Amino acid sequence: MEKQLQMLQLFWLYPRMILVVQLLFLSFIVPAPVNGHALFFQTKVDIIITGVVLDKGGIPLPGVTVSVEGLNIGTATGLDGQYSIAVPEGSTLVFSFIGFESQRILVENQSEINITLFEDTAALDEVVVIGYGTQKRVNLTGAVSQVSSEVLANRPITNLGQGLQGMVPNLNVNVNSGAPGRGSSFNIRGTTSINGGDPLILVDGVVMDVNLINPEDIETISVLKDAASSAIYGARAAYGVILITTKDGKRSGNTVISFNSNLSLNKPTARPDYMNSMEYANWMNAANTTTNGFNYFDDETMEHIQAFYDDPENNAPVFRHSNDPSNMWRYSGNTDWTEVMLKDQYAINNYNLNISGGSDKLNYYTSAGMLKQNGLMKWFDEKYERFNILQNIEYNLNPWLEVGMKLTLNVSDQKAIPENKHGSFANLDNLYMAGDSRPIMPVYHPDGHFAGYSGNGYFTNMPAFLSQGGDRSHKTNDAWVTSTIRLTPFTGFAVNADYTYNYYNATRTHVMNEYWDYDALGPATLFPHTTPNWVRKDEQDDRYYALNIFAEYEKDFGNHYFKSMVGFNQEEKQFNSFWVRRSNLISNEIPYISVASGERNGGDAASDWAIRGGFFRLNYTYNDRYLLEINGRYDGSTRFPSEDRFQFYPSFSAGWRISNESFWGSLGNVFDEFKIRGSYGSLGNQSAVDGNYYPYIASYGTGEVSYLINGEKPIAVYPSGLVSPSLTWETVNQTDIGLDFSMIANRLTGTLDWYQRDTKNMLTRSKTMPAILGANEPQANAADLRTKGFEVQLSWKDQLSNKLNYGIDLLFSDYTSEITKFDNPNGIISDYYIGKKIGEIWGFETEGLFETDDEASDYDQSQIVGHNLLAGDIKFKDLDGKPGITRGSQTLSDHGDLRIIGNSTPRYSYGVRLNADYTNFDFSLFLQGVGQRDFYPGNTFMYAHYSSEWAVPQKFNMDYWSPENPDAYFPRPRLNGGEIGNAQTRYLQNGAYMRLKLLSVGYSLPPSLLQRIKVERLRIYFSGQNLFEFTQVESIFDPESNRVNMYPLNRSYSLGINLSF
Amino acid sequence: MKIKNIKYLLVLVLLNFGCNDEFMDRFPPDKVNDANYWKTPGDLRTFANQFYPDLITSGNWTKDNMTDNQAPANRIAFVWNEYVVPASGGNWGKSDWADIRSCNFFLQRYQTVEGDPEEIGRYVGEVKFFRAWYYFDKVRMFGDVPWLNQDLNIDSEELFIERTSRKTVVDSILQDLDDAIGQLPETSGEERLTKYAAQAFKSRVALYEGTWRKYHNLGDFEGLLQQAVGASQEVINSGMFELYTTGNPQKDYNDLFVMDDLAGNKEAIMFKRYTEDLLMHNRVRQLGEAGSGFTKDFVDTYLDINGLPISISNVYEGESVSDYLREFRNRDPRMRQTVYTPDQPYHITDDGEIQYQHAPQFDNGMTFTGYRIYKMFSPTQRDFEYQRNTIDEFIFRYAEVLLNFAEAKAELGELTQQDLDDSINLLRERAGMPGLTPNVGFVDPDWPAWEVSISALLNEIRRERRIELAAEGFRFDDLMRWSAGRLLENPETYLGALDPETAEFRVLYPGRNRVWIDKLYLYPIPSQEIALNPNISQNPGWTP
Repeated sequence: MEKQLQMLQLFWLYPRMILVVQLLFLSFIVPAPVNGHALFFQTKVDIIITGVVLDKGGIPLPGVTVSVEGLNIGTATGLDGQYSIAVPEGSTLVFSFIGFESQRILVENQSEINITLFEDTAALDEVVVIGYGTQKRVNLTGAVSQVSSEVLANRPITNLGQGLQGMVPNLNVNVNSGAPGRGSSFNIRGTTSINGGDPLILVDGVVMDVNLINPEDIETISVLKDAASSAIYGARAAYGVILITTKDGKRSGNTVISFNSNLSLNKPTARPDYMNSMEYANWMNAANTTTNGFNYFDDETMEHIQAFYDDPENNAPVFRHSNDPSNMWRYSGNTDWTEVMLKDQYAINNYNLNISGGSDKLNYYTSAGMLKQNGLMKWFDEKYERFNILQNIEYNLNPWLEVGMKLTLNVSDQKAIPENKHGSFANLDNLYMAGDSRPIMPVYHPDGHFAGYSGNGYFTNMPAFLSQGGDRSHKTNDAWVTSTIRLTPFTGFAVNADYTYNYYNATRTHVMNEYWDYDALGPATLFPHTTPNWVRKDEQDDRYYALNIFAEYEKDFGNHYFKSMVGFNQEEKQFNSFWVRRSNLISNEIPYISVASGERNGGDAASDWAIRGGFFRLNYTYNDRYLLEINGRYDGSTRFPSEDRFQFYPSFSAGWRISNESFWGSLGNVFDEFKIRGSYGSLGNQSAVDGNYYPYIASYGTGEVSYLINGEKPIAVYPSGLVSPSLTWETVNQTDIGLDFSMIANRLTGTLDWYQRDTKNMLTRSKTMPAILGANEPQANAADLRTKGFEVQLSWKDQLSNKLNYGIDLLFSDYTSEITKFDNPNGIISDYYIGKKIGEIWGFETEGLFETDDEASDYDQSQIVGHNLLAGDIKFKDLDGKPGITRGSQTLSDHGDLRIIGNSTPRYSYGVRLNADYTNFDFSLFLQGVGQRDFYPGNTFMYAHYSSEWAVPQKFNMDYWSPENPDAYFPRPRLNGGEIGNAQTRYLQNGAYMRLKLLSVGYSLPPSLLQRIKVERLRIYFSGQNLFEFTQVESIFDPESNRVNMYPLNRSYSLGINLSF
Repeated sequence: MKIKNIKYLLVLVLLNFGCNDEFMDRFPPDKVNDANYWKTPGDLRTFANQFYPDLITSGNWTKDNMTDNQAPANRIAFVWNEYVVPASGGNWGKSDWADIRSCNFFLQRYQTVEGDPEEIGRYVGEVKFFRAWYYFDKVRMFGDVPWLNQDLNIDSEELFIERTSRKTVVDSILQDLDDAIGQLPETSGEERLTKYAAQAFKSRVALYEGTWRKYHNLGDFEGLLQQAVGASQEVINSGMFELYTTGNPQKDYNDLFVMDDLAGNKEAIMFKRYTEDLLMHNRVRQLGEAGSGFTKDFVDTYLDINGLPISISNVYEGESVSDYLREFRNRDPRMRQTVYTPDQPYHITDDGEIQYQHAPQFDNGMTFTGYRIYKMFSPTQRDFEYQRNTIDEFIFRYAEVLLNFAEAKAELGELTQQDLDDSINLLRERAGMPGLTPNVGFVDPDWPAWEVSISALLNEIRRERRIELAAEGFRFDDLMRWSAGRLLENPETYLGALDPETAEFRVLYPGRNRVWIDKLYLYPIPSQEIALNPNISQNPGWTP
């Protein structure tokens, strides 16, 4: 107990204490609000100023904003560049225009002020974070997209993925669950390998779980898409790299304290909508009559269901059946379980405080963030809390030595629902909506006890279970320390080294509580599924080390520019975990192993991996026109046998800044920058063996056996699976051709990329073997895949004469993937085969529903379904002309009446982003969508009730065939499955959608007002997420996640505040 | 540090990290593999443990839903000829062959173990028993199946062999069982396999295959039937087993299946132990919500107390709309111990209150046919609780061996009065029923419509087997081996009890007629397996 208290102090109290101490400390050292806005204007005599604004070529600039600093006065230049404005004497005029550097002129006694504005070269000098360094955007030769922290700011997001969705073309973010504490998964440029493969995500150079990061601490996000830009990361970068940098203090001499807070209300985008009791009972009766010849609910039961349905005030939702003298209630209620189970909305709170600043010797950034999220369950108080502390400090000890330290602590604390009685909700994404939520069961018995199990043995009452059955807690502590050193002994040369240590600890406690369950009359019994009560504790301790050392040298020889970099990287990760479980707690209230009396069980596991690599990069630029880059990495991974362990991965890229050529001539008036570039590179991939750290070593399984030998459950050893001894890296070759331009004084910028990625020797299950093999085929380097795609991003930025700044970004991307090699000599269609498009769906073509029994009985579908066909059953179309509907031998040469009916790959992904600000108001809007996708709904919540009597149909399932409804969408009711369980055209859904991801409106208080309260900036805003969508899928499915039994995505409505001083 | 020293540092750093060294060689720290296993007999024992949960027990009542004995609320597609050839899986998937691979994996590797040869032999015997167990399952479902005696890899030629004829496969199964019988110990105090468990299984396999060959006209069956007799006799002659009885024919049979502990029960050649909190089952609860029940055809099979079938007995009272108990009167006492009657406790609360259920009930969630299953049902509150049953279950019950013995002898035409007295009549005696004689002494006019005609004696032996082993999962296999699938066409096999409301027997699936197709004697091979290996042929009657 004492130990636990100590742990609590260490991980719970300590971060909070640090925060308090830091705040106290900083309150002393932070200087008083800085001068600069010291004067407060008294209105003086206005004078009229006129003039003309020209560019450096002497051409008049229309639309230039002319304003008075600190006052709400302004105008804009006309077509001839002329302006006129009345200003108080002694004020400062500001001339600003997008793409040009602003100028400030103090008004003394002039009456005419003519100005020449110079192009803002900062736009061209934009620096992009790349692997082990940075690069000016204009000199990039690879495909890199960078977004700044702005896209994440002021949004009710709980993790990075939600914020990045749709922001970078071909960065595909899958947010398939809204469950508290759940993150997103990422993909760059589509199907990577048939066994998946994720991009490498590095935070300040080390692998971190991005779902634990505080989005507020992020400075930039750089997405390296092609082989050339990611090759420096070698064998883990085949499917791109996402580089995240965290914020640093600015060496401005000022200290900035900012506080951001956001409160959002979250409503599910979609939720189940079940049939009511009468609809359900009628459906069940019809289905059982088709299948077994009699009604599912007998007449007596139907009378009670009808009575309660008609008049719930004067009838009970329970009754005693004359057949059944037991103490059990029979049910005749009419419960809307969605309504009973789920809240309409829940809250998420976000608070962030950061303090940053610095001098010429030192800069610092300290931040503390807190996220609190509730859940959707009415009967269980779900909770997710995350605390993030980040401290970045850099010192210049002397002109050639800089040292830095970064400390990160991510603490999360979650309380979640227990696994259900079937153990099937092990995944926290699952929403607690059990399959057997039949509307006829009431929530309570007439005596006030929960209805359910003992009342009638077929039912489980979810509220009873959730409110009494136990819980799961999940606590993580993720601590990072990075030390960096940078030596710059002479100009152009630098040596960098950093070492990172990470300790990750997770504690999971799962408690199952005993509770009383009541039948109609008698004494309560303990709910058997949670009896005896038990507690299980899991402890995971992981360690990670990373070392990077790299040296850079840069030199300009007139027209020749060279830059080189060489480095070394080594990482190691160790996993350790153990668990203990014990049943028969002395009290539900004390879920501790030491306070239980039952059998003890336990287990443990350990594994590790390491990588090691050396890398280099060479850049050469001639005359700012011709760019050349070579990358290489020699990389090794412990996951492969020693002979195949190390590989060399080269990449090349080149660019041509055509706009700098003399022949570009007058085009230069339109195009500020025009560059074409191309790259080719080869990368290795080990992600296929993710989660298996020793894929070439055949290990035996072990487990406990459900058979008592000598009165105990013994341990058994199971044979190893098959492994291929010659596993090696997958190789990914990628070609990229791109175009970057900016035009019309940098108002319009664009990037276009086309790519082709060949994944060779994909590690996959080798050729399908007859089942008598008795084991899964081993992984082997057996298949090739080709993915082709393109992405376009166009951005327009401008300022209107009335000081309205606005920007529009259009993003568009697409890809397709196809198998180019797979050993499938028989052409089995359920397997991969050459030419198979990833995502394709095989199925039958539905001709319709049989109109008459005669038509049905004359039709031969006996190889697909065994039952006799009747009117209202589904009729498949005979495509092959041969007798009967068949699947043939399910091979490419003989697939009977099957054909490819669709493809689930999302095509034509797009995003439209609008930003505007006008005086103190700002506005942004973001639309995101998928242009084409086929969605074949999973069995559950679509047609599971045709094969399982326990599945409850949805409201839209009411459109089923009956003699009165011959044009129905769904077929005749049945209980033993049949035609509807086969993929077919009739139930293929159009999965395209467009969604309003974000809408936000903000108002910043005018500086004149804020100066009085010594505040630099105070902004309040409203922000909405997922506000609406256009889609054709049934409303119980969210078009993005397409699942119903998962925690839904949310529509969020949030209010926030940004404060800095 | 001076600037110029940096280069030394760099050199030092680079020298420190070679390419392939110990840092890069890693092995799973928490796993066993080929290299560190197969050393001691304990390794063999631990490996063999994995197979034990697959032993089917007497609690296998749901399997009889496929037969003329029981009818479920939701018809079983296979026996209604609504089963279609699956693309994959269908009990011929990789996981279905994994156990056979596991056995072969053991048999290819155990030779490196050093230790007491008898102990090593014991576990080799166990694994051979289990290989036989899994193959018998395959043969029953599919007939001819590829016989494998080593674990395969993806380059094994055996992957593409033809199906081995069932004769060869069964010969191999029996060889494995003979090896097991030679190596297993006579007794086990810890519920592991014994010589007599293997003998009991051998009698089951040999009788199954002997009669299959006989009734499916494959010939060459006498040797198998003799092996069935031999194996049964070994068990009988051991003197270690006898039927459980306290001398109370009204109770003993029912009691046998609701015992908390079968240790020391001499009817148990082998049993599966269940213990509070450690391993429990849910059988009683399931039977309470069976959604199934016995058929009219089954209840009519019980002889009257005088040993005569109801068709000719003068003590049979027939059914009554007002008196459910009437047809139970003067019948084989096992009838009331198998089928619930409203004068027997249905529920006994923790306070000791006894509750009764009226009958017949026709509730598709509980007693679909009106004849509730009472064998293996325990009325106590404790046993009714979900997944809290600790009632032990038989893996091999002596009664089955006696029935195997009598049937094999009768099929061989060698059954004597002495044989009957040593087998069937022991069961009759426990049940309080008169003994059977080789000449039977009557002909039942309601004789089942056997496709292949049999003697009156064999008919009575089959009746005895049907009654004694009811709801234990034997009936479907029996119908298959006797080539008696057509019995399922009899409408009485899906007829329920007399319904007091309508005064008619309950028609279970109105408007449906069951038609037997001979292809159902074997399951189809999944179509993908035939595409992958063209040497595999489909079973007769099934379209590829």
